Amino acid sequence: MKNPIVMIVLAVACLIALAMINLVSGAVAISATEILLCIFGIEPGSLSETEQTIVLQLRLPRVITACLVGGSLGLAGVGFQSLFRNPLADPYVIGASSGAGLGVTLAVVLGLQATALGLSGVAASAAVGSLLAVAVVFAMGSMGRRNSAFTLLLAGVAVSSMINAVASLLMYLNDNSMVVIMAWLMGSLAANGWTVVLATTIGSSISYGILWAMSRPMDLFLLGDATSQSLGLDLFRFRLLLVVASTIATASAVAAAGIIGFVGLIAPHIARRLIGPRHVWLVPMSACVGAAIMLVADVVARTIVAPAEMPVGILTALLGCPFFLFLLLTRNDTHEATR
Amino acid sequence: MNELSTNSLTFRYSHRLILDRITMEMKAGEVLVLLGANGAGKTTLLHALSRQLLPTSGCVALSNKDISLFTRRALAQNIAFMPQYENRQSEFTVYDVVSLGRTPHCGWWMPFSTKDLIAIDASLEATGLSGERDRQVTQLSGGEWRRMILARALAQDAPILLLDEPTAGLDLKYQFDVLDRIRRMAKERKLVVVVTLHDLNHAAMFGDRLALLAEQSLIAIGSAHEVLTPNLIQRAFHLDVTVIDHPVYGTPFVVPMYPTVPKGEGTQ
Amino acid sequence: MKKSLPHHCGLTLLGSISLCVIAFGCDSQEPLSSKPSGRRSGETKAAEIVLVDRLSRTVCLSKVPTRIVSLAPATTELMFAIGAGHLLVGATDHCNFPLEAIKIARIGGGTMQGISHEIIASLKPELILGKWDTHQPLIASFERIQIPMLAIGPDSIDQLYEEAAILGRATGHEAEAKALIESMKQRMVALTSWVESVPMDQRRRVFYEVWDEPLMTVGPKSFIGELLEKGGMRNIFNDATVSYLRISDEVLLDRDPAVILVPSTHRERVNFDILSKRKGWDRIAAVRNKQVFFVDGDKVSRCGPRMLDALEEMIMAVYPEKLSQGLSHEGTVR
Repeated sequence: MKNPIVMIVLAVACLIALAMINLVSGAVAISATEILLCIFGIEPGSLSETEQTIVLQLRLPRVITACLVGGSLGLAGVGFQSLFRNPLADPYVIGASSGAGLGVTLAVVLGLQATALGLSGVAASAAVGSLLAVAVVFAMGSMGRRNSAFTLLLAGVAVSSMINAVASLLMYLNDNSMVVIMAWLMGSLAANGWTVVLATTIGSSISYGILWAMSRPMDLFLLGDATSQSLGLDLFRFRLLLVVASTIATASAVAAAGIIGFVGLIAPHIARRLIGPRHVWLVPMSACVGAAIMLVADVVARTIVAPAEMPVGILTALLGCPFFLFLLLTRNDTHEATR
Repeated sequence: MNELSTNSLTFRYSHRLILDRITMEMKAGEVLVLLGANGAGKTTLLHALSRQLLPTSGCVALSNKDISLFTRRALAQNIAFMPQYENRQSEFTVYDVVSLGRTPHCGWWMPFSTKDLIAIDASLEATGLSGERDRQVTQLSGGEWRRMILARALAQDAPILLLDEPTAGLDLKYQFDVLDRIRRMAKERKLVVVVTLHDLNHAAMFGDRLALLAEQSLIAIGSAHEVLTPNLIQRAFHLDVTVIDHPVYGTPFVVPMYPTVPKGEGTQ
Repeated sequence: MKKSLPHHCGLTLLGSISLCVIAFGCDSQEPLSSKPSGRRSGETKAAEIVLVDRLSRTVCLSKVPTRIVSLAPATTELMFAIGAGHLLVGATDHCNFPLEAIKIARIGGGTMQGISHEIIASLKPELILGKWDTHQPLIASFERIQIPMLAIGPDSIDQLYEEAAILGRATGHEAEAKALIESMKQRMVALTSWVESVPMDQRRRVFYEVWDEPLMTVGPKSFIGELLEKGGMRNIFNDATVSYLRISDEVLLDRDPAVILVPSTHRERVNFDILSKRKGWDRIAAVRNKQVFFVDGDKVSRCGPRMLDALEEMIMAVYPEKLSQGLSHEGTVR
């Protein structure tokens, strides 16, 4: 197999290159050298004040947010796919998105919408909503005698349906707020500044730290409940930490950019193709792949219909899906044959 | 020093009694074979011994300490359990899976020490998998896969080894091969070994003591000669057998009274 | 459910009088709503213009802005109507009225995600006019780069007058704004004086179809509900508590409207033939008597200065006898 360290280095190099492309492209044309000089503060004078604002206050935070959001979704995807040993699990599988929806709805209906502190009141409620929803699901899923991933998944389906229903009811009763709620939920990478970058960095770093430290238990868990337990894994503690770490990642992504589908689902798969199943490499690789997908989607979103922009979620699905299918269909199918 | 014992172990599964007051002791350096018909509770007993299942009442003690008082990790340092089945749909290599056997010793995130690496290599060696370490788990044959999880259980380096049907699905040669390796390990490392087996003759050949489960309890425990009697086998398996002495080893040899239509009849 | 919403309608339609509930909610959150930097930036300089927007935010401008970006077609129309259209340096792809608006630089589609922050920043605007609902998350991001944003977007006729006055003060076109409001009020009187004389029991019972799949209509609290009332029509869903409601064919047949009004925004999908072929609709009086009329969608769904044109269209359609009596056209806003 390919050397995983080399692969990670390559992935990071790709990320940096993509980030550069993102920095250079935009509705307003500014040359690469000028952007670099401006970012590193060497010769800021060569750009007009407006151009400096565009580079430093709009483009740079946007590129970094895209990286962080994509990376967080990649992490959350690995976490939840590991938790359920199910390749179809994504960051929203046990209610993070419906929780965010209810959080935003409550914030708007209760009139929190006018706050504009770093993470705005509504974005913060989205994150808190995600965390609470998953906490409720986890509590429900762990209560029964059969404390299994399956119970958790079913609890997730049930609880998130109910949360969705409550959010929909609130929206129906306050139908004049619906547009506001949708505007927040759709989210946008563009609306973020440095404070959001900071908040998202903290969230995704915590999540990355926990997940990476758990890479061996995650390997182990893949072999089954009985096996991992007999090899010393405390399943409850493991599941709890895994859910906490993955949900923190999801919540920081949701707070920064709304609900973006597909990245969290496919990034782990692509990473697995590139670097194999061991989580010690898979966790960083999946974060890199997620970030790369977001960067590509964002640069296309900003240029394809310029001066207008496209919702980045449309492009993550549009671009990620064919690549994903390509990998799926070209993999060696030896293990299907021996099944 | 390393002893495993059960005291009045009872297990119910939604009011259905599976195991009724099982009391037994397992000693170091001894292979104990659990026998019983399908559904007699062999696997349940093994699961209770490894704390995969919590007994309804009674307890399992490791060196006179209730195993429910151990942390999972401490327990895993003492008891290795080789399951009958587990998820095989991963892209791990043989080496990846075997090295996971070291988890109880190095914890969640500590990298492997030299001692760990030596243990992994030794168990690959002992199961004849040294040449297969980079193959993917999904490409292994059934026999290779069993040897791999045996290797993992050995890498776990625990004084107690519980094996659920280690010969199931193996070629004849590998059945004996695996059982022989297990027996050698037990003697060399002074392990407590508990194995469930289906084949009574295998049990007679490789077990130091045999335990026969039937009617929710232990109806016999002792040497092969004590346990493998036509009466007990009829009670446990509802099968008529004749027991003769093994022509080479002198161990009991169980011959089922089949076929009911004698050879030659009906062929004119 | 979300996808089947009439999007272009939805953006402008889904707001209503019960907005004051939200505004009230904001007031009760005084410590929070005092935080936006719009107020802060105003305190440092000697503010000349102090504006309060729909979110009860205070926006202070040190001088009359000469570069303004509009994020909604209705706002663009209103700016031109008060003679401040020349101050616009950026508008959305949908800002198609009046003709001069087409020449303004485009900043994108007008939804939260469809606009380009970079283009807006590069236009160096001194004020951004956004919608209080759809563009709410943008306020913080533009404040961050020191561009004040006014959250507006009327949901009733009175609010339209109010916002015309606000824009007049913001752009130094107070007199023009006042004149516009005056002429609109006069025209409103001219339009409604005749219908007001129609006795309640002779007023025609109207169904306004916001969208066909799912079938949606307006309640009395919505802006269109208000137009219907002003135009002397009896909205058959006058008892609704929700501004925009989904209804079943069953209720519609039961209430049997005499007239059906449909905005042209979904005329591509609905015409009289299609409408009359819907299950059971041939039994509705409006369909039997061919009393189904289409209203210019841009005029009716943008709560802007052309709203009275829409009202006139609706009155003409519902009360054609008024046409024969001759309707005064003075004060038409074009």
